[in-house]
Amino acid sequence: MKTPTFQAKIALKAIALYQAARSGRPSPCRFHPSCSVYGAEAISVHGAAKGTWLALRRIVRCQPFAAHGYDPVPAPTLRSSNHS
Amino acid sequence: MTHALISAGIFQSIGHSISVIFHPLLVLFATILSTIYGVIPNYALAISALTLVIMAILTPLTVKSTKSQIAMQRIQPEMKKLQLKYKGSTDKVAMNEEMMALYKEHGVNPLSGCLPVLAQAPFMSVLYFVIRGLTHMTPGLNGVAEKSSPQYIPHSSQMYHDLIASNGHMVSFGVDLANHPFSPGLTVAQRIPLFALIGAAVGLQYVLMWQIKKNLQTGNQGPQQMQTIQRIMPLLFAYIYFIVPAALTVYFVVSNIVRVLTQDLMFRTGVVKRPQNKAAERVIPATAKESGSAKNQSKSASTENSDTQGAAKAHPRSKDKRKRRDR
Repeated sequence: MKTPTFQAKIALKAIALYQAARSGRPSPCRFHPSCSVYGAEAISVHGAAKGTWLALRRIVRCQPFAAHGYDPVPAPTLRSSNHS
Repeated sequence: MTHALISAGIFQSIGHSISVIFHPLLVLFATILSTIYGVIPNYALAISALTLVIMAILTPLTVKSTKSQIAMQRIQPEMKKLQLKYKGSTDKVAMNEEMMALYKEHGVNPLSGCLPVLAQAPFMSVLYFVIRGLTHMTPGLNGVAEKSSPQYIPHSSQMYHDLIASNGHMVSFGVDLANHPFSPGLTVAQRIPLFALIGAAVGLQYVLMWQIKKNLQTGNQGPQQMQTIQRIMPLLFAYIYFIVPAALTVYFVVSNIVRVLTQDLMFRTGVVKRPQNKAAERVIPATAKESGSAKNQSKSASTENSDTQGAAKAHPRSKDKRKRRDR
Protein backbone atom coordinates (compact mmCIF):
# COMPACT_ATOMS: atom_id res chain seq x y z
CA MET A 1 0.00 0.00 0.00
CA LYS A 2 1.32 3.43 -0.90
CA THR A 3 0.68 6.86 0.52
CA PRO A 4 -2.41 8.12 -1.27
CA THR A 5 -1.94 10.99 -3.68
CA PHE A 6 -4.23 14.02 -3.65
CA GLN A 7 -6.43 12.51 -6.36
CA ALA A 8 -6.57 9.19 -4.53
CA LYS A 9 -7.61 10.96 -1.33
CA ILE A 10 -10.44 12.74 -3.13
CA ALA A 11 -11.64 9.49 -4.70
CA LEU A 12 -11.44 7.67 -1.37
CA LYS A 13 -13.41 10.41 0.37
CA ALA A 14 -16.03 10.34 -2.37
CA ILE A 15 -16.42 6.61 -1.85
CA ALA A 16 -16.59 7.04 1.94
CA LEU A 17 -19.30 9.66 1.46
CA TYR A 18 -21.24 7.36 -0.83
CA GLN A 19 -20.98 4.60 1.77
CA ALA A 20 -22.08 6.93 4.53
CA ALA A 21 -25.09 8.03 2.50
CA ARG A 22 -26.06 4.41 1.97
CA SER A 23 -25.24 3.13 5.43
CA GLY A 24 -27.99 1.23 7.15
CA ARG A 25 -29.39 0.00 3.86
CA PRO A 26 -28.52 -3.42 2.49
CA SER A 27 -25.94 -3.54 -0.27
CA PRO A 28 -27.15 -4.22 -3.81
CA CYS A 29 -23.80 -5.71 -4.77
CA ARG A 30 -23.34 -9.12 -6.37
CA PHE A 31 -19.73 -9.42 -5.32
CA HIS A 32 -17.54 -9.79 -2.28
CA PRO A 33 -16.10 -7.39 -1.42
CA SER A 34 -18.83 -5.00 -2.50
CA CYS A 35 -18.11 -2.50 -5.26
CA SER A 36 -17.44 0.44 -2.96
CA VAL A 37 -15.12 -1.54 -0.67
CA TYR A 38 -13.41 -2.92 -3.78
CA GLY A 39 -13.09 0.58 -5.21
CA ALA A 40 -11.58 1.98 -2.02
CA GLU A 41 -9.12 -0.89 -1.81
CA ALA A 42 -8.23 -0.72 -5.50
CA ILE A 43 -7.47 2.98 -5.19
CA SER A 44 -5.35 2.56 -2.08
CA VAL A 45 -3.47 -0.37 -3.58
CA HIS A 46 -3.12 0.73 -7.21
CA GLY A 47 -3.36 4.51 -6.94
CA ALA A 48 -6.01 6.89 -8.22
CA ALA A 49 -5.83 6.25 -11.97
CA LYS A 50 -5.60 2.48 -12.11
CA GLY A 51 -7.72 2.06 -9.00
CA THR A 52 -10.55 4.11 -10.49
CA TRP A 53 -10.27 2.14 -13.70
CA LEU A 54 -10.51 -1.14 -11.78
CA ALA A 55 -13.47 0.18 -9.78
CA LEU A 56 -15.29 1.27 -12.95
CA ARG A 57 -14.67 -2.12 -14.54
CA ARG A 58 -16.04 -3.77 -11.42
CA ILE A 59 -19.20 -1.62 -11.44
CA VAL A 60 -19.77 -2.46 -15.09
CA ARG A 61 -19.47 -6.14 -14.22
CA CYS A 62 -21.89 -5.78 -11.33
CA GLN A 63 -25.09 -6.46 -13.28
CA PRO A 64 -27.35 -9.45 -13.91
CA PHE A 65 -25.57 -10.65 -17.04
CA ALA A 66 -22.15 -11.02 -15.49
CA ALA A 67 -20.61 -13.13 -12.77
CA HIS A 68 -20.99 -12.78 -9.04
CA GLY A 69 -19.27 -14.04 -5.96
CA TYR A 70 -15.81 -13.58 -4.56
CA ASP A 71 -13.83 -11.07 -6.59
CA PRO A 72 -10.88 -9.47 -4.80
CA VAL A 73 -8.77 -6.58 -6.00
CA PRO A 74 -5.92 -7.94 -8.15
CA ALA A 75 -2.48 -7.81 -6.57
CA PRO A 76 -0.29 -4.98 -7.81
CA THR A 77 2.08 -6.13 -10.54
CA LEU A 78 5.65 -4.88 -10.72
CA ARG A 79 4.72 -2.36 -13.34
CA SER A 80 1.82 -0.86 -11.45
CA SER A 81 3.74 -0.62 -8.20
CA ASN A 82 6.52 1.34 -9.88
CA HIS A 83 3.95 3.68 -11.27
CA SER A 84 3.38 6.42 -8.72
CA MET B 1 -32.21 32.11 -12.23
CA THR B 2 -29.31 30.24 -13.73
CA HIS B 3 -26.70 32.59 -12.35
CA ALA B 4 -26.13 30.42 -9.31
CA LEU B 5 -25.38 27.52 -11.60
CA ILE B 6 -23.11 29.56 -13.78
CA SER B 7 -21.12 30.57 -10.72
CA ALA B 8 -20.56 26.91 -10.08
CA GLY B 9 -18.65 26.50 -13.31
CA ILE B 10 -17.86 22.88 -12.74
CA PHE B 11 -21.52 21.97 -12.50
CA GLN B 12 -22.03 23.87 -15.69
CA SER B 13 -19.44 21.95 -17.67
CA ILE B 14 -20.46 18.57 -16.25
CA GLY B 15 -24.05 19.53 -16.97
CA HIS B 16 -23.19 20.48 -20.50
CA SER B 17 -21.56 17.18 -21.34
CA ILE B 18 -24.44 15.25 -19.76
CA SER B 19 -27.01 17.21 -21.72
CA VAL B 20 -25.12 16.47 -24.94
CA ILE B 21 -24.91 12.74 -24.25
CA PHE B 22 -28.51 12.47 -23.14
CA HIS B 23 -29.92 14.82 -25.75
CA PRO B 24 -32.26 12.28 -27.40
CA LEU B 25 -33.55 11.25 -23.98
CA LEU B 26 -34.04 14.89 -22.99
CA VAL B 27 -36.04 15.54 -26.14
CA LEU B 28 -38.12 12.44 -25.47
CA PHE B 29 -39.01 13.46 -21.92
CA ALA B 30 -39.53 17.08 -22.91
CA THR B 31 -41.94 15.93 -25.61
CA ILE B 32 -43.84 13.80 -23.10
CA LEU B 33 -43.95 16.76 -20.72
CA SER B 34 -45.22 19.18 -23.35
CA THR B 35 -47.82 16.63 -24.48
CA ILE B 36 -49.05 16.29 -20.89
CA TYR B 37 -49.09 20.08 -20.64
CA GLY B 38 -51.25 20.16 -23.77
CA VAL B 39 -53.85 18.16 -21.85
CA ILE B 40 -53.35 19.73 -18.40
CA PRO B 41 -52.13 23.28 -18.99
CA ASN B 42 -50.69 23.70 -15.52
CA TYR B 43 -46.93 23.51 -14.93
CA ALA B 44 -47.06 21.92 -11.46
CA LEU B 45 -49.62 19.31 -12.46
CA ALA B 46 -47.88 18.49 -15.75
CA ILE B 47 -44.55 18.01 -13.99
CA SER B 48 -46.22 15.88 -11.31
CA ALA B 49 -47.79 13.72 -14.02
CA LEU B 50 -44.43 13.27 -15.77
CA THR B 51 -42.88 12.34 -12.41
CA LEU B 52 -45.55 9.69 -11.95
CA VAL B 53 -44.74 8.30 -15.40
CA ILE B 54 -41.04 8.08 -14.50
CA MET B 55 -41.77 6.54 -11.11
CA ALA B 56 -44.07 3.99 -12.71
CA ILE B 57 -41.09 2.82 -14.76
CA LEU B 58 -38.61 2.87 -11.87
CA THR B 59 -40.73 1.46 -9.04
CA PRO B 60 -40.86 -2.19 -10.20
CA LEU B 61 -37.07 -2.14 -10.40
CA THR B 62 -36.81 -0.67 -6.92
CA VAL B 63 -39.17 -3.24 -5.45
CA LYS B 64 -37.31 -6.09 -7.07
CA SER B 65 -33.90 -4.93 -5.95
CA THR B 66 -35.09 -4.17 -2.42
CA LYS B 67 -36.45 -7.68 -2.19
CA SER B 68 -33.22 -9.34 -3.18
CA GLN B 69 -31.14 -6.96 -1.08
CA ILE B 70 -33.08 -7.95 1.98
CA ALA B 71 -32.89 -11.65 1.16
CA MET B 72 -29.16 -11.22 0.83
CA GLN B 73 -29.00 -9.46 4.13
CA ARG B 74 -30.71 -12.37 5.80
CA ILE B 75 -27.91 -14.74 4.86
CA GLN B 76 -25.23 -12.20 5.73
CA PRO B 77 -24.12 -13.92 8.98
CA GLU B 78 -23.49 -17.16 7.15
CA MET B 79 -21.76 -15.30 4.38
CA LYS B 80 -19.41 -13.76 6.92
CA LYS B 81 -18.60 -17.20 8.28
CA LEU B 82 -17.80 -18.34 4.77
CA GLN B 83 -15.51 -15.39 4.21
CA LEU B 84 -13.71 -16.09 7.46
CA LYS B 85 -13.29 -19.67 6.44
CA TYR B 86 -11.66 -18.68 3.16
CA LYS B 87 -9.69 -15.81 4.59
CA GLY B 88 -6.19 -16.10 3.26
CA SER B 89 -7.14 -18.88 0.93
CA THR B 90 -6.55 -18.69 -2.79
CA ASP B 91 -9.30 -21.10 -3.68
CA LYS B 92 -11.72 -18.72 -5.30
CA VAL B 93 -13.66 -21.43 -7.09
CA ALA B 94 -14.37 -23.38 -3.90
CA MET B 95 -15.56 -20.25 -2.12
CA ASN B 96 -17.84 -19.37 -5.00
CA GLU B 97 -19.29 -22.84 -5.00
CA GLU B 98 -20.04 -22.68 -1.30
CA MET B 99 -21.63 -19.28 -1.75
CA MET B 100 -23.75 -20.63 -4.55
CA ALA B 101 -24.87 -23.48 -2.31
CA LEU B 102 -25.77 -20.95 0.36
CA TYR B 103 -27.83 -18.92 -2.11
CA LYS B 104 -29.58 -22.02 -3.28
CA GLU B 105 -30.33 -23.23 0.20
CA HIS B 106 -32.01 -19.95 1.10
CA GLY B 107 -33.63 -19.37 -2.25
CA VAL B 108 -31.70 -16.19 -2.85
CA ASN B 109 -30.90 -15.14 -6.37
CA PRO B 110 -27.70 -13.26 -6.93
CA LEU B 111 -28.50 -9.59 -6.77
CA SER B 112 -29.08 -7.50 -9.82
CA GLY B 113 -25.97 -5.60 -8.80
CA CYS B 114 -24.63 -2.11 -8.37
CA LEU B 115 -24.84 -1.07 -12.00
CA PRO B 116 -28.65 -1.14 -12.26
CA VAL B 117 -28.88 0.81 -9.01
CA LEU B 118 -26.37 3.41 -10.15
CA ALA B 119 -27.93 3.55 -13.61
CA GLN B 120 -31.04 5.08 -12.08
CA ALA B 121 -29.13 8.21 -11.20
CA PRO B 122 -28.68 9.54 -14.77
CA PHE B 123 -32.28 8.64 -15.42
CA MET B 124 -33.28 10.89 -12.56
CA SER B 125 -31.08 13.72 -13.71
CA VAL B 126 -32.72 13.73 -17.13
CA LEU B 127 -35.72 15.50 -15.66
CA TYR B 128 -33.45 18.08 -14.10
CA PHE B 129 -32.10 19.00 -17.52
CA VAL B 130 -35.55 18.97 -19.09
CA ILE B 131 -36.85 21.44 -16.50
CA ARG B 132 -33.75 23.56 -16.66
CA GLY B 133 -34.29 23.59 -20.41
CA LEU B 134 -37.80 24.99 -19.95
CA THR B 135 -36.51 27.92 -17.98
CA HIS B 136 -33.64 28.56 -20.38
CA MET B 137 -33.14 32.22 -21.20
CA THR B 138 -31.20 33.82 -24.02
CA PRO B 139 -29.03 36.36 -22.25
CA GLY B 140 -29.77 40.00 -23.01
CA LEU B 141 -27.12 42.06 -24.78
CA ASN B 142 -26.53 45.82 -24.69
CA GLY B 143 -29.72 46.78 -22.96
CA VAL B 144 -31.85 44.21 -24.73
CA ALA B 145 -33.75 42.25 -22.10
CA GLU B 146 -33.12 38.53 -21.81
CA LYS B 147 -35.62 36.39 -23.59
CA SER B 148 -37.15 33.02 -22.87
CA SER B 149 -35.95 30.30 -25.23
CA PRO B 150 -37.18 26.96 -23.95
CA GLN B 151 -35.03 23.99 -24.94
CA TYR B 152 -35.91 20.43 -25.91
CA ILE B 153 -39.69 20.89 -26.14
CA PRO B 154 -41.25 21.00 -29.63
CA HIS B 155 -41.65 24.56 -30.87
CA SER B 156 -45.15 23.80 -32.03
CA SER B 157 -46.33 22.80 -28.54
CA GLN B 158 -48.64 24.87 -26.41
CA MET B 159 -46.08 24.76 -23.62
CA TYR B 160 -43.50 26.44 -25.84
CA HIS B 161 -45.91 29.19 -26.82
CA ASP B 162 -46.99 29.74 -23.22
CA LEU B 163 -43.38 29.97 -22.03
CA ILE B 164 -42.52 32.46 -24.77
CA ALA B 165 -45.65 34.46 -23.98
CA SER B 166 -44.84 34.62 -20.26
CA ASN B 167 -41.13 35.12 -20.99
CA GLY B 168 -40.05 32.04 -19.07
CA HIS B 169 -42.30 32.48 -16.05
CA MET B 170 -43.99 29.25 -15.06
CA VAL B 171 -46.83 30.47 -12.90
CA SER B 172 -48.83 27.65 -11.43
CA PHE B 173 -51.24 28.02 -8.48
CA GLY B 174 -49.93 31.55 -8.09
CA VAL B 175 -46.29 30.43 -7.72
CA ASP B 176 -43.68 31.08 -10.39
CA LEU B 177 -41.93 27.71 -10.61
CA ALA B 178 -39.11 29.17 -12.69
CA ASN B 179 -37.82 30.87 -9.53
CA HIS B 180 -35.71 29.58 -6.72
CA PRO B 181 -36.13 30.95 -3.18
CA PHE B 182 -33.32 33.46 -3.57
CA SER B 183 -34.32 34.74 -6.99
CA PRO B 184 -33.94 38.52 -6.93
CA GLY B 185 -36.94 40.82 -6.89
CA LEU B 186 -39.44 38.56 -5.15
CA THR B 187 -41.68 39.62 -2.30
CA VAL B 188 -41.66 37.69 0.96
CA ALA B 189 -45.09 36.29 0.11
CA GLN B 190 -43.72 34.98 -3.19
CA ARG B 191 -40.76 33.32 -1.46
CA ILE B 192 -42.76 31.51 1.22
CA PRO B 193 -44.25 28.83 -1.09
CA LEU B 194 -40.80 28.22 -2.59
CA PHE B 195 -39.31 27.63 0.86
CA ALA B 196 -42.29 25.45 1.78
CA LEU B 197 -41.64 23.24 -1.27
CA ILE B 198 -38.02 22.77 -0.23
CA GLY B 199 -39.12 22.05 3.33
CA ALA B 200 -41.44 19.35 2.01
CA ALA B 201 -38.71 17.80 -0.15
CA VAL B 202 -36.20 17.66 2.72
CA GLY B 203 -38.84 16.44 5.17
CA LEU B 204 -39.82 13.62 2.83
CA GLN B 205 -36.22 12.52 2.58
CA TYR B 206 -36.10 12.22 6.35
CA VAL B 207 -39.34 10.23 6.26
CA LEU B 208 -37.71 7.84 3.77
CA MET B 209 -34.68 7.43 6.01
CA TRP B 210 -36.85 6.89 9.05
CA GLN B 211 -38.86 4.23 7.24
CA ILE B 212 -35.72 2.32 6.32
CA LYS B 213 -34.32 2.59 9.80
CA LYS B 214 -37.53 1.47 11.44
CA ASN B 215 -38.10 -1.53 9.19
CA LEU B 216 -34.62 -2.78 8.46
CA GLN B 217 -32.94 -3.47 11.73
CA THR B 218 -29.64 -4.15 10.09
CA GLY B 219 -27.85 -4.13 13.42
CA ASN B 220 -25.06 -2.54 11.49
CA GLN B 221 -25.56 1.16 11.26
CA GLY B 222 -21.90 1.77 10.70
CA PRO B 223 -19.67 3.99 12.81
CA GLN B 224 -21.09 7.03 14.54
CA GLN B 225 -19.56 9.36 12.01
CA MET B 226 -21.30 7.62 9.12
CA GLN B 227 -24.60 7.94 10.87
CA THR B 228 -23.99 11.64 11.26
CA ILE B 229 -23.23 12.03 7.56
CA GLN B 230 -26.33 10.07 6.73
CA ARG B 231 -28.39 12.32 8.93
CA ILE B 232 -27.14 15.53 7.35
CA MET B 233 -27.28 14.19 3.79
CA PRO B 234 -30.77 15.54 3.07
CA LEU B 235 -29.57 18.95 4.20
CA LEU B 236 -26.72 18.78 1.71
CA PHE B 237 -29.27 18.00 -0.95
CA ALA B 238 -31.26 21.01 0.19
CA TYR B 239 -28.41 23.11 -1.19
CA ILE B 240 -29.33 21.85 -4.64
CA TYR B 241 -32.97 22.76 -4.14
CA PHE B 242 -31.99 26.31 -3.29
CA ILE B 243 -30.25 26.88 -6.61
CA VAL B 244 -32.60 25.10 -9.02
CA PRO B 245 -35.99 26.23 -10.32
CA ALA B 246 -38.87 25.32 -8.02
CA ALA B 247 -40.34 23.26 -10.86
CA LEU B 248 -37.62 20.73 -10.16
CA THR B 249 -38.41 20.72 -6.46
CA VAL B 250 -41.96 19.78 -7.46
CA TYR B 251 -40.44 16.73 -9.11
CA PHE B 252 -38.43 15.87 -5.97
CA VAL B 253 -41.48 16.26 -3.74
CA VAL B 254 -43.74 14.12 -5.93
CA SER B 255 -41.13 11.41 -6.53
CA ASN B 256 -40.37 11.24 -2.80
CA ILE B 257 -44.07 10.91 -2.02
CA VAL B 258 -44.21 7.96 -4.43
CA ARG B 259 -41.12 6.46 -2.79
CA VAL B 260 -42.55 6.85 0.70
CA LEU B 261 -45.79 5.20 -0.37
CA THR B 262 -43.99 2.37 -2.18
CA GLN B 263 -41.77 1.66 0.80
CA ASP B 264 -44.70 1.80 3.17
CA LEU B 265 -46.62 -0.63 1.01
CA MET B 266 -43.61 -2.93 0.71
CA PHE B 267 -43.03 -3.08 4.43
CA ARG B 268 -46.70 -3.24 5.27
CA THR B 269 -47.54 -6.09 2.91
CA GLY B 270 -44.37 -7.94 3.84
CA VAL B 271 -43.28 -8.13 0.22
CA VAL B 272 -39.75 -7.67 1.39
CA LYS B 273 -39.93 -10.37 4.05
CA ARG B 274 -40.46 -13.46 2.00
CA PRO B 275 -40.61 -16.79 3.85
CA GLN B 276 -37.30 -18.58 3.66
CA ASN B 277 -36.47 -21.57 1.48
CA LYS B 278 -39.31 -20.75 -0.83
CA ALA B 279 -37.47 -21.14 -4.06
CA ALA B 280 -34.83 -23.60 -2.98
CA GLU B 281 -35.35 -25.72 -6.03
CA ARG B 282 -34.44 -22.90 -8.34
CA VAL B 283 -31.22 -23.62 -10.16
CA ILE B 284 -28.64 -20.92 -9.98
CA PRO B 285 -26.07 -21.12 -12.74
CA ALA B 286 -22.54 -20.94 -11.47
CA THR B 287 -20.70 -18.24 -13.29
CA ALA B 288 -17.55 -18.33 -11.30
CA LYS B 289 -15.13 -17.77 -14.13
CA GLU B 290 -14.70 -14.06 -14.32
CA SER B 291 -12.47 -11.08 -13.78
CA GLY B 292 -9.59 -12.18 -15.96
CA SER B 293 -6.69 -10.66 -14.13
CA ALA B 294 -8.01 -11.16 -10.64
CA LYS B 295 -5.43 -13.09 -8.73
CA ASN B 296 -6.59 -14.11 -5.37
CA GLN B 297 -4.83 -12.64 -2.51
CA SER B 298 -5.32 -12.68 1.13
CA LYS B 299 -5.31 -9.04 2.05
CA SER B 300 -8.63 -8.19 0.48
CA ALA B 301 -10.38 -10.76 2.61
CA SER B 302 -9.89 -8.57 5.60
CA THR B 303 -11.84 -5.64 4.14
CA GLU B 304 -14.92 -7.31 2.90
CA ASN B 305 -17.13 -6.90 5.87
CA SER B 306 -20.18 -4.89 5.13
CA ASP B 307 -20.57 -2.35 2.41
CA THR B 308 -20.35 0.42 4.87
CA GLN B 309 -17.59 -0.25 7.26
CA GLY B 310 -14.26 -0.87 5.66
CA ALA B 311 -13.50 2.45 4.08
CA ALA B 312 -14.89 4.53 6.88
CA LYS B 313 -12.36 3.14 9.25
CA ALA B 314 -9.63 3.69 6.76
CA HIS B 315 -10.63 7.33 6.23
CA PRO B 316 -11.81 8.65 9.53
CA ARG B 317 -11.88 12.28 8.48
CA SER B 318 -14.28 12.03 5.60
CA LYS B 319 -16.46 15.04 6.33
CA ASP B 320 -16.17 16.06 2.74
CA LYS B 321 -19.14 17.61 1.05
CA ARG B 322 -18.21 16.25 -2.32
CA LYS B 323 -20.89 14.19 -3.91
CA ARG B 324 -20.07 11.05 -5.70
CA ARG B 325 -20.79 11.48 -9.37
CA ASP B 326 -23.22 8.63 -9.43
CA ARG B 327 -25.39 9.57 -6.52
